[in-house]
Amino acid sequence: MRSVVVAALLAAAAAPAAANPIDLFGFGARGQAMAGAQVAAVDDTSANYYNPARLAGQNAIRIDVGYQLAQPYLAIDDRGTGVDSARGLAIGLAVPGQLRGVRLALGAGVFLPDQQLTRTRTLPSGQPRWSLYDNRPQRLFLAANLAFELPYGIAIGGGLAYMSSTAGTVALDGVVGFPDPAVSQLDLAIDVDLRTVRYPQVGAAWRANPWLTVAASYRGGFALVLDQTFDITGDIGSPGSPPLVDDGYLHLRSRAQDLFQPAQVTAGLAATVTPRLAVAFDLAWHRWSAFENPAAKIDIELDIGDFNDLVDLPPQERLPAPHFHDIVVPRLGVEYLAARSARQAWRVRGGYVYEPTPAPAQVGATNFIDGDKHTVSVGGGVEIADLARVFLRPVSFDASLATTWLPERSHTKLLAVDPVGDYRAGGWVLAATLQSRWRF
Amino acid sequence: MRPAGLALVSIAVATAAGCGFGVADDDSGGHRDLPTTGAGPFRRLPTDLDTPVDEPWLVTDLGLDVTEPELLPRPGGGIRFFITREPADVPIGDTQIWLGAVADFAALPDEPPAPVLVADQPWEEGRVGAPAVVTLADRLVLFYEGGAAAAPAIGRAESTDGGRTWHKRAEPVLAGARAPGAAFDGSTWLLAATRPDAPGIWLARSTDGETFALDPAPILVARPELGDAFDSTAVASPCLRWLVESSGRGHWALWYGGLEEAPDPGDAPRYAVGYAASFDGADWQRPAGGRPVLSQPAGAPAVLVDGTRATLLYDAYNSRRPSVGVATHP
Repeated sequence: MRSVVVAALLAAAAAPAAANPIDLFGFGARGQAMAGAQVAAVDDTSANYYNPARLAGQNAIRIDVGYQLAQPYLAIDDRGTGVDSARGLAIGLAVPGQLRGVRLALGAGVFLPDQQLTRTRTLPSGQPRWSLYDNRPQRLFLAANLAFELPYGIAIGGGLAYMSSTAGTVALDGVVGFPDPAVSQLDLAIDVDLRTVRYPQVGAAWRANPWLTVAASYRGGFALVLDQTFDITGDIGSPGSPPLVDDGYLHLRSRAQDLFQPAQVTAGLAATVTPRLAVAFDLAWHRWSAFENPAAKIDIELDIGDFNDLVDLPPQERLPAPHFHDIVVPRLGVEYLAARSARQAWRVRGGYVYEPTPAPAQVGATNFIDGDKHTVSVGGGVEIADLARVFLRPVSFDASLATTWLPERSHTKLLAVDPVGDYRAGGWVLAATLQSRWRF
Repeated sequence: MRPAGLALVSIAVATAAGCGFGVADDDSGGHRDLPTTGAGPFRRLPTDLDTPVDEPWLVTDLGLDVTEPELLPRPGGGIRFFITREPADVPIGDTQIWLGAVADFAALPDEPPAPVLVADQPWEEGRVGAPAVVTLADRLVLFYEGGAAAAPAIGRAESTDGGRTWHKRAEPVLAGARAPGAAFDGSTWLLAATRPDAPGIWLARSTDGETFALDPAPILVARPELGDAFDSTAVASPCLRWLVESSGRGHWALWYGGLEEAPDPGDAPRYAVGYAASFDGADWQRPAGGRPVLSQPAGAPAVLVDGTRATLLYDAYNSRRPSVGVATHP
């Protein structure tokens, strides 16, 4: 039993901060190429993420299918830490319609990772980790939206995005072998739920004039909790012999923050500056100040009869606050119609985003590593009419490439006894998307 | 590329990706080569039946005591380790310092331990042990314990051949002290030791590495006020290092044996390994909580920190004989 307690305590851990892969790398090739400055500029099914209101402008059923890849190269003290890549299929759907004369659209967007649908990972408390990249991208993203087009060029939309949290119990009942744990006779029962977590996203857009659209969106924040319970009940001793302890009992509950997404408010505009050039600008506020220390909070109850006095369960030390702060993120994107013919239109895109880090320098017991991010993105696409004489509406093929640079940042510890010590952290993240966009 | 071909390529890429034929690896990463100062926690080498090694033991002998390890990185890979060992022949208690090397803890030492320092000075009284080595650019400096058990002293020797031969200083550098740990930050030498007549871990300081002045008070003492602390009864066997971090700032790191309970008469003390550190060598901190970095039984620690990994040698009983074991972090 004691070894079980020790093992459980060793499992006490911290999970990374996080959100979802779309937050990090964008949704779709056009959005990624324009640095995510899409709250007003989005014109395809990626409105399911950027601004649901912009679904309302569709005049055809749209299905967008793409593949996204992001590969971090993040280093501490010039040594790569092996942060995982994120990659998967991005699919968007928009279906326009009318209800009592009001134009509306239903939409859905999904990012389906091809490594794992979700990741639940706990790390030892205090272990350095790239807070915004470590566990964040390995997620299934799913959103469903409804949008209406109102008079005066106004559109509103909203919906829900879905994630899942994990809650489970592992129960063992029987005889716990002592002194030889190998002779234990335990019945095992496992009950684990992946519980749905919904968070809202709403948006509005106003087409002020033929060349200018202004828009705003709100995306709710959430924290996924990993709630694990271990219950071990039974006698302690050797099977077939009188037990040393009758009806021993261990209850351990660990609650850790598995994933965190800050609430986000974004306002932006899209302007058609010339017939060939469009410019988009977004300003987003991310409420990272709500981020809490994700380390596991553990409750333990132990009853092993006369041996209770031999087991000293230290109280859990108070978890230090991460002291993240809110950030404002500006995004700038451009799109240029490079060439047009009767059947083809070629566009090139570019963008830049500066995302200041919400994390303070890690001078104390925490090591939630992050840094300011400068992202430069490029991309392009071709829109083809009458493709292969099969598709009646134009089909688009797009590609994008984004490079995020995290300048090296020094973390100098206050205490000499710090187990990690001073370090420098920085690196690169490369992201790319291939996408096809279909209208029916 | 023709539009139809472009469409087919796009669809093929998306389909293949959706089926999981990605282009990157699937390992759960993000925790490779993380920095550490060697403050643990340490884990003993796990038993591996596929190796010729009796993990976690690095050196063990059914007939003789092997204690008080020290270790250094070996050029070209692996480590050099020093141990205190007594030869098989009489008299009893005439310990020597032996040197060995191992390339990998999953293999036997490729340089089996052999004696490199024996007692030949009058003050040593037939006994040398507890090696503590400081690596300089052109030589190794060894501090070691010698003399009678009731009146120990710390001697000094130098080697220019990687520790195989030593040139001793005739007189000890610090009298009335034992179990040295030593480090040099480029300007100041610190010599940590215990004293037979005063509890605690003491520091002596020097600018030349030969003339040491003992501090008036110990830097670490037992913590009886923390009743269940691993070092509530005694502290002993310091291992001292000067570590320079990636920021360029350095600190003194000290590992030591801590005793929670005094042993019963006739029993060996069961030490655990603790950790302390200081930026200036004067103000020393211990981690909160009173927990060791390596659980008992483990005494006389020696630690090697390479920035992302720490290796700790310790002495403890393997069956009935003191032996030297290995623990690592992470």
